[in-house]
Amino acid sequence: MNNLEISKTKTTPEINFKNSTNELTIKGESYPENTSEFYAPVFEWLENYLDEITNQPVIVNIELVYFNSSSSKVLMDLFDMLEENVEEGKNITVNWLYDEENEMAVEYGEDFMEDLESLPFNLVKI
Amino acid sequence: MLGNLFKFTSQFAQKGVFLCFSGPTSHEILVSTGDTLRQFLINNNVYKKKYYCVFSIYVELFENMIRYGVDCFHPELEINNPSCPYGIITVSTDGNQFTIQSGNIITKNQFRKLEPYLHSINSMDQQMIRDYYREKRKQKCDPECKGAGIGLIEIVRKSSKPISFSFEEIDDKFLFYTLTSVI
Repeated sequence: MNNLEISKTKTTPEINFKNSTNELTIKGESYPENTSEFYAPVFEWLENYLDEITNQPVIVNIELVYFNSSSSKVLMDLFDMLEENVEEGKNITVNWLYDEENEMAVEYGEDFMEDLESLPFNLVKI
Repeated sequence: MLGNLFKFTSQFAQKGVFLCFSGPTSHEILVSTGDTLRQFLINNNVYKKKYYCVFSIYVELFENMIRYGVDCFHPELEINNPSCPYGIITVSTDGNQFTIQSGNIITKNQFRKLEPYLHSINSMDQQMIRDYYREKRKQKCDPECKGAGIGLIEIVRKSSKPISFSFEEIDDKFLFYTLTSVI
């Protein structure tokens, strides 16, 4: 299985999903013209990847300084998917990276954290 | 027309409007005018939280105009037209608060759903709106939905006071919808 690499643009984040190191990173800003279209290959890759792995530790780093409401919904879907896999015995941890001055990013991280039960979700100050 | 433009510009200047776009809306225009807005905020040392609140509300309002606006100047294209629906958006400041106003054309059918919805989310307190946002975000999107359906909740949540809105009748089919958010 190949790594998934999508370069960042002005309105879409950098996606760097490394099958080799089990490190998945989403970094930048997210307000695509068509959110579901942009994230479709990300979900597709992730589904295949999650099918393949067993219980090796997976780290998901999310460092989004800005995202619009439709991206927020996509992130929720993503975390729900990861949570289902954790419930099936997978070893996945999400790190929500934020800049202290960006209060919004902290608040959104807290919101996600409260909405998740079994998925380990850390708020990490950069 | 020339005289009118001067009149509009003077009125905008008096109200502290530093950015205005009027015309066919598109994602490209959202991005380029959004960049102009960000540069203005950076140049004026607006602190990060406010910077992201202003930018975020601008994006949500602009996206709503693109997604839900209709162009009654072309009556054959009533709704969901593939062209770029008309919209107008202004951003102003008194040096402290920022006001973002968007205006676009909607149909009476859209109005019947939108008006009670705006009233209901506008009356929620901070905790209620936060819970409602999270509840809606968890819901699966129905097939005909165009966005996440949480843009307006986001706007109410980030505004520093309740939003205001108005609907002015254009004819028996269309209304002009204005939304104002203060940050």
